[in-house]
Order: sequence, then structure tokens, then C-alpha cells
Amino acid sequence: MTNPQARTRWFDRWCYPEMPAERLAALRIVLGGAAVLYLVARSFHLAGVGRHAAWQFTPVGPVALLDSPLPPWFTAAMVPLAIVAGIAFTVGWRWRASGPVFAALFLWVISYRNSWGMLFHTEHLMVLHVGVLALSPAADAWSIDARGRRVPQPSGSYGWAIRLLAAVTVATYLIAGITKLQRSGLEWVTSDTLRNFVAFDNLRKAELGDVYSAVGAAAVRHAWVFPPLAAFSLAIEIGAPLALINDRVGRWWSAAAWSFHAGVAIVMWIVFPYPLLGLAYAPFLRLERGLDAIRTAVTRVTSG
Amino acid sequence: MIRGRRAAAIAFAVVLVAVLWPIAGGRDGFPFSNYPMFSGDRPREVTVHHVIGRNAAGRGRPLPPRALGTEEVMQASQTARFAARNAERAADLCRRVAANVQGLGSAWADVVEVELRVDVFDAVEYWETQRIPRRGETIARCPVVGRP
Repeated sequence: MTNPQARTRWFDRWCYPEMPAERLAALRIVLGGAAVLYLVARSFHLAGVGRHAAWQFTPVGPVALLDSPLPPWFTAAMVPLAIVAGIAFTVGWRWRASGPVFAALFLWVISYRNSWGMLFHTEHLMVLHVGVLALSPAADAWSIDARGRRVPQPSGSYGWAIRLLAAVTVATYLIAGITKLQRSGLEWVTSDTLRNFVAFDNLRKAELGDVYSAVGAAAVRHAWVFPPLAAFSLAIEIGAPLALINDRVGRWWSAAAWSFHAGVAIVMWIVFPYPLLGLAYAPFLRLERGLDAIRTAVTRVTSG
Repeated sequence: MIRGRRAAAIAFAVVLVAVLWPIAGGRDGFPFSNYPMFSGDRPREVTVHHVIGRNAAGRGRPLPPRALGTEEVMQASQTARFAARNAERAADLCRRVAANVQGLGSAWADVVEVELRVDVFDAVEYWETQRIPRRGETIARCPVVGRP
């Protein structure tokens, strides 16, 4: 690995592989569109976070630059601005501006929502993916900017961003696994830790007047259920880097990670929409083929 | 916008180092985190900060997160926990919740008093046998204005 040519080959293979511009464009459309839908679906909530009491303000991310909360009208105004920028991002209009502007606004709006004493770990990956897309030439195909232009040849210029999106997904799982080992060691698997977490989380929901998982509550009575579930969870997290070996392993890992989140939803009633909708694993898929098939079908229907 | 090999290498390195950095610092944050949820040791005995509503007969039941001004149960939990650390905040939260109870709908029409509490439960026993705290403490109490 000391010779520069070998280093370049290694880099090209893992970090700069030739990939189609349409795949990166499809990721822009799907992940950008999902971010916009998220903002729209949660707009009332996101615009209303400014109404919390000032003593709850615990700024995170770029919001940490503030000493005190901003006026509620400002918070409310940022949400529609982010939605408009997000639509420009998704359709690839004036990408050089709309990419970074949406990434910055999205980071701000979601950071602000997380700045009231509770970090929602459901949104980290979505924000990171939008940030990576904003750095990339994701509007070279299937965008308003690219109208009338030929689709470029596959290139490392598209491949690096797709690989980085996948690597960021993998990294977030790996970190979660390492943190478990750092804080609890293998006892996280062998002890009653997971059972106690499931019992506590459902109890807390019940005692805070919210919906809890009846399945999880019932499972707590059977201690033997939890060590295998804990082993599976930890294997998904620590084994995440294997997903970068090749496309096939990446898709298998994605399916396993998805089932992990489905299990969490079933036993704890904690819904991580980004992975459960498959969005976290989109960089492992040949997304352009699916979108192309949809486009062909729509064209066929509309042309009679 | 990054296209070239060198710029891509720098972007790759910077982004991955930033994402992985919280492992070294053991720090939770946004958008970079060490994802500590459900990672530490979790004993059976747990402390829950919550707000309950009492009817005229003194019977209590947990108020939903929207009574605490949020749709999110975890935000409600943190709000109650944060408020319970300080008497002024506790009183402020109690008043806010009491005001919100009016808007919760007919299912909560019997609530005449709001109580911010810290209760200690055995989490496993809670689901195996009985759903009552081992011990608890009232942090703040306030009436729902306009209800006898």
C-alpha cells in the first residue's frame, strides 16, 4: 500500500468507483424528497418548538451558537423556507445554491427541534445524508438543471458520493455497537440489560400517558427471549462494515438491519422511519433502475 | 460541488472522521453522536418523572405528552425530568400543564388537579405483577383553573 499506484487503485476501488450519474440523481430525488415530506408532515410540530419554555433550551449542533431561544416567529418561518429549498434540492434546480442552502436549513431546523433537552436519534442519518448529497454533483442527471443535456458517463465523480452515503450509514451502526461495548461490554448480550431496557421503555411510555408495545410488555415475562435478540442487534451494529465489501453483502446487511428496526418497533414501539422505510439503505441499492421503471410506466400510461 | 479524486478523498476523510469522532469523546450530540441510547447498564429499578392528573376523588392517571406541550413521549419525559430539578421550573411546568388540560378533550374533563411526580418502579415487576411504584414523591401540585 506504500506505492502510490497501489494506493490510487485501492482508493478508486473503495471510494471512487465508477457509478452512473442516474444513481446519484435517484438518491437525490428519493432522500431529498423524503426529507421534504418529513418537514411537511412535521411542519406544525417543527414550527411550534419555539413555544417551549426558555429553561428547556439546550442547544445542539449549529444552534449551540445561540445563548437563548430565538423568537417563535423566526422558528416558524424557517420551516417553510426549508421546505421550499428542499423542493429545489429534490428537483435539482440551481443545484450549486439549492444543495448547500437546503442542507444548511435542514440542519438548522432539525437541530433546533433537538435543542430542548431531548436528542431524537431518528434524524441524525437523514441530516447527514442530505449534507453528503449537497456536496456532490447529484443534479447532473434527472434534474431541472440537466434538462436538454445528455446524461454523463458513469464516473467516480458520482461513485464517491454514493459510497460515502453508504459508509455514513454503516458508521452510525458501528458507533452504536462500539458504544454498547464501551459502556456495558459483552454483558449487554449476556445479562438482563436488554430485557430491563424494554421493560423500562414501555413502562415509561405507559406512565407518560403514551402508547406502549403490548408485545414488548408481554415478552418481559420471558427472560430467555432477550439474549438472542441482543446478540442479533450487536452483530448487526458491529458487523456493519461488512456491508461495504460488495453490493450483495450490502443488500443482505441492509435487510438484516431493517429487520432489527422492525423488531425494535414491535417490542418497544420506537419507530425509526428513515431505516424502516428503507431510506437509510438506499445507497446500497441500484435505485436508478426502480425509478427508471416507474418513469417508463408513467410515460407509457400518459402517452396512451 | 466535489468531482475530482483529491477533493473526494478529502470529503470522504473529513465526513467519516466527523461521524466517527463521538466514539473517542463518548459524546452524544447533533448531527454527530455516539448513539448511547440503550447502551449502558440498566437496572430493574427505574425512576420515572411524569405528570399525572387527579380527579375530584383523588384518583390519578398519567397525562399524555401533549399536556406537556409536545407530541413526543421522550420530549415529555425530558421536560418533566428537567423541571423536577428546580422548584421554580417545576411550578412553571405544573401551571403550563394545568392550562393545557383544558384543551385535552372530554376524556380528561374530570381532571381537577395536576401533579409533577418522581416515582420509582421495578420495571420487570411492573409488567409481571402490579403497576404501582415502590416509592414516589410529589414535586409540584396545582389546580386546573375553573374546575372544582
